[in-house]
Amino acid sequence: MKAYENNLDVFESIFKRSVKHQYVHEPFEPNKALVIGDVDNLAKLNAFIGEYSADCQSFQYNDSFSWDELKSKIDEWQPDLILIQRQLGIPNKDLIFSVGPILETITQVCKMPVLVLPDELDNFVIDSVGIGFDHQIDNSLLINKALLLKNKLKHITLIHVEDESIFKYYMGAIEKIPGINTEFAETNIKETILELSADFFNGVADKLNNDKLKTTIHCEFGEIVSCYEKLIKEHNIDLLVFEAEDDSKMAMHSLGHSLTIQFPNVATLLV
Amino acid sequence: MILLNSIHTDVSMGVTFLFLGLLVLMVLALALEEKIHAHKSVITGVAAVFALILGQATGIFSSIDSHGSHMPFFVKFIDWGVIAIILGSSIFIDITSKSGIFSWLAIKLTKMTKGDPFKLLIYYSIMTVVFSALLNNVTAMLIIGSLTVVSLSNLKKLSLLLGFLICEGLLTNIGGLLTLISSVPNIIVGNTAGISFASFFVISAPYVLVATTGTIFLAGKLFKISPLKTDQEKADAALLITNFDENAGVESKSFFKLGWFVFISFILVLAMTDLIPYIQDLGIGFVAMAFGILMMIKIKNKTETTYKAIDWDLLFFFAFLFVVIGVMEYAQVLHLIGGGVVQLIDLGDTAGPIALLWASSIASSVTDNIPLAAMLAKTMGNLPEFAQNFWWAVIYGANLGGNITPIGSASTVVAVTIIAKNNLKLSFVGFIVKAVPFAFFQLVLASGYVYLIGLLN
Repeated sequence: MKAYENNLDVFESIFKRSVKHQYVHEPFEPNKALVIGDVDNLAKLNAFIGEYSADCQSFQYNDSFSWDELKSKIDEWQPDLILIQRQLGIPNKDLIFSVGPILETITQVCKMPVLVLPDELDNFVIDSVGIGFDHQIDNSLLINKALLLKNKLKHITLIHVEDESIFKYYMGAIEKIPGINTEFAETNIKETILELSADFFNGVADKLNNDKLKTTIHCEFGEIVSCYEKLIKEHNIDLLVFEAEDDSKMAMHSLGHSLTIQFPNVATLLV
Repeated sequence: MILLNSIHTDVSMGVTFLFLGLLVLMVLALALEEKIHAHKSVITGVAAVFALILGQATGIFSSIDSHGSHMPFFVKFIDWGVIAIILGSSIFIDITSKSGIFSWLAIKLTKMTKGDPFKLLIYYSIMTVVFSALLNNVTAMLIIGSLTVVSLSNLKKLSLLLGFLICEGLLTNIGGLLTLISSVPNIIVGNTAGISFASFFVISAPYVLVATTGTIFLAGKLFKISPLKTDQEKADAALLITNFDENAGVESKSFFKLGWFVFISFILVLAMTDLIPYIQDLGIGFVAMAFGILMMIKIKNKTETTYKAIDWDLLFFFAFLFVVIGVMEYAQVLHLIGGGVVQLIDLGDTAGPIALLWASSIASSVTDNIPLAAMLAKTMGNLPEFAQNFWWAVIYGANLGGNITPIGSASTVVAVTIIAKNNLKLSFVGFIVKAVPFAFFQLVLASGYVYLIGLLN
């Protein structure tokens, strides 16, 4: 490598570091909501969403369910929010590692946010929301959509948990490269990754605190499920908000899908 | 008819042509540097080794008296003044850039454009010229080129990147004409011609101003870089450009302030070198080294990073090149080349400088302009009195020739590297097709300007 190529890299790093993505606030309202559930749950789901949306329609699931029929309804009515019962379409509710084929298909096919509520809805109120970010840190849309259910909202936790095991795997490769100082790489990569989310989150917090919403920032390396578990308890999180699709658009591989399965007692909004 | 003065040795024409062959091989190897995968210093180093052995074998050094000197005679061929300027400036610029002043200024100006592509073109072009003039062409291209990639990417205007980078690459060679230390050919030719830092600036500034303005407008037209039209476009761009934080590259406020203070002092001292007692006798090389060493106090226990950043390839390239040129002088090769230069000088004070300017620009477009400048400076230094604008013809030709091909100057090589790094397709011929209108405009303008310098003198 020539001296100038090394310097080019130095300057590119400085300028890339100087770009701090800012939160762009754009309000969304759940004016129209579509509720999908079976005969046992439809009424309580409707009752819940009635508090947030003025115009609700229902789609009742039964044995003669037709996906085409549901898809046509969604396409024609274009709801701002879809509320769907967890594990809808699964005959055996013991199959706990599936959120249900209808929910899985809707999140891949439809562009509108999909809300999944816990089974127990008595006295359920959304006043603490956790927004989980994957690798697209500067995701203003995720925050704006999370604010769809802001009626009784008091507290927002912005969460970025970077998978420590994947990081260790990459560090294992770095350790074997003589030209890279392992300790320097480990410290700097960790710091830079966390700084990226912290910078964006601080901007979001400034805006949301002005709107009287208490905002907490949480950026760390760790084991994803246990970190979220700890945060749910710590901040009494009622609703987790995630991207519905992962970075590479692989079906059902997003952070949101895994954690929707993992935490059945917490509501999830998949955007 | 001008008669040549040079070192007089009894060298046969055959020996002179043998050394000329070696020189041509070296120049060809330098032109094909990328193809043969050899760094410049290796090419000139090998040429120096062979030239010295061949010189001893043919007896061309017989007139050199080395008695009483511990220093090998060929070490004296090296122009240590030039080496001191380049080494001192490299150290100084490397440490000063760590203070964040250049990135701070570049980002501050980027934000002032509010994301308008045409304003960005104007601001980046001016910055390229100023940075090339005050730092060096390569550093200027590195700073502005990398900023352009990041800002156009942030503004989602990467389709304009190629035009920006070509324009900036070409402007580094215009900015390289502004001061005596802006480019290596200036340093070499200016030192030989005895042009001071201040008078170099006064003579060259008007040309740089007109050439820069013309180049910007030509780039806007040819690369279709135009101002934003609708209010929505302007609002979106203004929002995206606020993402930049000029303080991101500033790690210490005290170092940042020191960086500004020392950098401005450096420029002022350089400009007034001829007026400051003691300093005037020590020269620009001393000023560059002194400021470089003083800045090292700031990193006194971390000097290894700066030593690592120094372009040792460039410094060894110079040292070996000077040895080769020294040998060529004894082999009467410079006398031979001088004959060609004399023919150009004999064309008169009007046609002569213009012919020399175009000849040097064409020569420097296909090979490194540094050996060309060094060779011509040494050759012309041996000639008797001639009009001052011949020196300027070499300076303008050697610098502007770099704008004709992608290998014509170190900064255009950097521009092409950035272009390739961003997966933009640009062949050797493709670069020439895009660059020739600019080079032609700049050379025609320079021809008129060199003629004007002749008239005013």
